[in-house]
Amino acid sequence: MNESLTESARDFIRAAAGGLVIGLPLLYTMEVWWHGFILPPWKVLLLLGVAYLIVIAFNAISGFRRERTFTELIVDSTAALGLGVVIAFVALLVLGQIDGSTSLRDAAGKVGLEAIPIAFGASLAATELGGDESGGRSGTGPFERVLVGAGGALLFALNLAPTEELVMLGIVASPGLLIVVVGATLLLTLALVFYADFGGRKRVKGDGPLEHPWSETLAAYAVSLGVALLLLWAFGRTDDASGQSVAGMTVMLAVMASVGAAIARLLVGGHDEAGQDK
Amino acid sequence: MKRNAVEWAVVIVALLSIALLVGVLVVEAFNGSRPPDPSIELRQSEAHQGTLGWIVPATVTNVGDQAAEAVVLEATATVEGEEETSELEVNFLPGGTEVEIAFSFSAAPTGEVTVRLVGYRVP
Repeated sequence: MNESLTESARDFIRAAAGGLVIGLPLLYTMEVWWHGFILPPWKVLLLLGVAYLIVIAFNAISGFRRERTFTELIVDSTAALGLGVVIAFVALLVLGQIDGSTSLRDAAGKVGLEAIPIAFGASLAATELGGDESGGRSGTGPFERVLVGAGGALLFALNLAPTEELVMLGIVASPGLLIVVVGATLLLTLALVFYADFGGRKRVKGDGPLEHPWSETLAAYAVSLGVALLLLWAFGRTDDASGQSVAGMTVMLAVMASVGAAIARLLVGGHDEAGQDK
Repeated sequence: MKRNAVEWAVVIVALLSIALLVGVLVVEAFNGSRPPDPSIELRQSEAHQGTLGWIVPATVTNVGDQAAEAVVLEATATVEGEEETSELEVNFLPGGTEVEIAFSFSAAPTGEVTVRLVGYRVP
């Protein structure tokens, strides 16, 4: 009994620490504080909702409690999000970004936005970085990898979406340059996932339409573009912007999103070499 | 999988904090549409002589719901028989939030200090 309490406490501390590690850069980003009160509350709720779904998907695919039921999956995911909310609140207090003169709406907006990366970090730490996992995870299918890729894309792109740098990059880019960026992004993610051999993960080609390096890369890129556009819209970057500057910002943000998607796909791995998971 | 006391505590705190956050955001989503409305409260009693002038602390409050950006305020007072103005800009003023500022004059003003809102940007 005591041992299980200690282990749970350790899991909790690991999740909290992982959340903080992932969340710190955004806790120090003033555009995120500003967007906490600039964005209408329903947009913050929408982003939290999307983040929650991604946490559920991520936990479902890579969770280490393989025997858990759907209810347990929901409870674990809720715990990760709640941990994000609590840590975001405490961290913003400690950083002096929430104090007695902060309005409820301002505080709620900031906590809501900052909770997202922390919740991702917490579920990442809980599922991927646990020391007690005895290897042998069964492989994941291509659709699941793309889904997890969406989570990585959101996590990485969230670091850039609120910043002014992205607007500058997107607005000045010419169509020709954007085409080059698209090509470079595809090559970069293709190389990252399939040829750089990170973590010694071997991939086995299957027969499905998504099970070829190029098709998976393209699918992940499409998802990354979608995530980039969603974030740009959520942070009000598409309001009153011309079509070309929206395209520019989306392509530039998708670079970061694709790298996030690639790293997330690497984390959950591919088929086992033996290919037992058909 | 059975959960122990630590796990239950985490889950309960998580649920409560999410409910609180979502509750506040939902309430704010429904009643948070008043335009920005900066107001000011001068604290003459705390005014004091500083190195570069007579400092009058004040609190700016946005009594509206929406945030205002680049809020420019102008204080006017009579100093040694002449009218003097002091202007300053508040970068961001979220709805319902207070920001501490201070106006400065060359010497202690005689009579009232009046403050005018020059303008702001809607972010």
